[in-house]
Amino acid sequence: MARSGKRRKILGPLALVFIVAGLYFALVKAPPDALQGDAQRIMYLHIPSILTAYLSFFIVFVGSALYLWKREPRDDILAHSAAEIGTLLTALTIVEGSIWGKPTWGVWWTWDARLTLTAILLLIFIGYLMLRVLIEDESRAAVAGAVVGIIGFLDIPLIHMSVYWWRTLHQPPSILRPDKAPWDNVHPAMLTALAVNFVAFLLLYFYLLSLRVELGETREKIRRLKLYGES
Amino acid sequence: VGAWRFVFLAYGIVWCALALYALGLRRRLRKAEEELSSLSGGAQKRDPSRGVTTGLLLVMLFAASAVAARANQREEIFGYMLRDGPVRGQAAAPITMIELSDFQCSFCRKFWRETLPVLDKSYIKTGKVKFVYHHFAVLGKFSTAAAQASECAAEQGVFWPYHDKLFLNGGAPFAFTRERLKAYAQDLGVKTRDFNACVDSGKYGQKVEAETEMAAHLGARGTPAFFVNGAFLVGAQPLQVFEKALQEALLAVKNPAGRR
Repeated sequence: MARSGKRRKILGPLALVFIVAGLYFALVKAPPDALQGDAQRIMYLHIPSILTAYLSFFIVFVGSALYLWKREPRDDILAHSAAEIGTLLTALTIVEGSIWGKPTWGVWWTWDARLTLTAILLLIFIGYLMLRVLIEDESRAAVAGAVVGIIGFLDIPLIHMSVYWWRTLHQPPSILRPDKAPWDNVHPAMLTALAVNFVAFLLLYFYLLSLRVELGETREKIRRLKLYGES
Repeated sequence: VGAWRFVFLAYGIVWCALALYALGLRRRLRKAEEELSSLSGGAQKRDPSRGVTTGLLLVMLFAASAVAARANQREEIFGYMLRDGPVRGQAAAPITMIELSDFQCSFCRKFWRETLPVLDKSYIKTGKVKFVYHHFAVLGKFSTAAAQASECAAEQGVFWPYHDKLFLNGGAPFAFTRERLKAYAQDLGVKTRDFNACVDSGKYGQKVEAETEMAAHLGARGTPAFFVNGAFLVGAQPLQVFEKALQEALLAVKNPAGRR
């Protein structure tokens, strides 16, 4: 516990520095997009937040699989924590996309394949979180959660490939393109802004995850104390 | 400025939500720790990372001021462009259309040949629109030379006829050598010696460069680029696109409460 507190002492301020730098690069330094104008600046939030959400759900996947295999509460706490933060990030990504969509596409929402699959991802993990609250027996909730967490994660490859498989309104990637390096495709100032914001999101993510895991561990100790009188 | 509203909304929601979540997490953790220590009778522990969430709120303030500064800079550039440039049309016209253009670019010439005469007849001459020209000289030294020469023509009050001459001849190779630029002016009856001296001195080099930079700052990435009462339009688009933008701007001026 002391170690994670120390870790957060570094992670927190570092995240703040990167968030401030990210704002500067995204809102001041980067040029506006040739076609989308200033609205494109929302991408410096949109891409880092969804990539961090993917990472989070990957952690859910790993934690859930480990829990099903070894039944260590530690793994379940990690998966549960990552699911909570990942859900928040997914919801924020959808909000950002929607706010970007209004001036660019002219609509707040459309039933595009990628958008719909992302909404499904959000719903799966809202379901996950509800399951964790509604099932009172902790270990049964953990097993059910682990199964939903693994299934939910499988939606992510679908989301990623959706822009290739279907004719979507959502544009295909500019950074993770199979045929071109990012620096040949995107203005360097835009790439810097994106990278700095991505680091900011990652740092903040691990700060929040550390906080959330510690909360889970503390609750687990309380539960054990109440059940067996030991921690 | 319209797009900035959306940008600010998105950044506001995201950083506020994350700050609130972080604050909430820390409160939940504190409560759990209190419960644990009351159960086990141990010493209380405090979360060491105070201030991070307050910091996040400070970040919000910073974002607000950055956006404001950026918007301010745009306002300044627009202010300059409205104040200081060759204008055609009546000063009291309700709509201002700014063209950011390069005499060498073929799409700018296409706009000049096909679209501008129509706009001139039905919008500019009728007092609905005043049209301002600024340099976005991006195609190398002949572009900047032509832009500078046009400033020399403006000195003698013949910017628009000279502008027409440049676009008329701009398609030919080597149309904008120094000699040709001087020759075009001669046809317009300028004071030749003053004009030639002005061209040779290169005294408008900095102005052309500064305007080109401003154009890029406003988000122009290609020539020609236009601002119709601040709304961005790019390329030698079909006439209907310009007419639609102008009609919309007229409507917005007439009916300021009505939003698009």
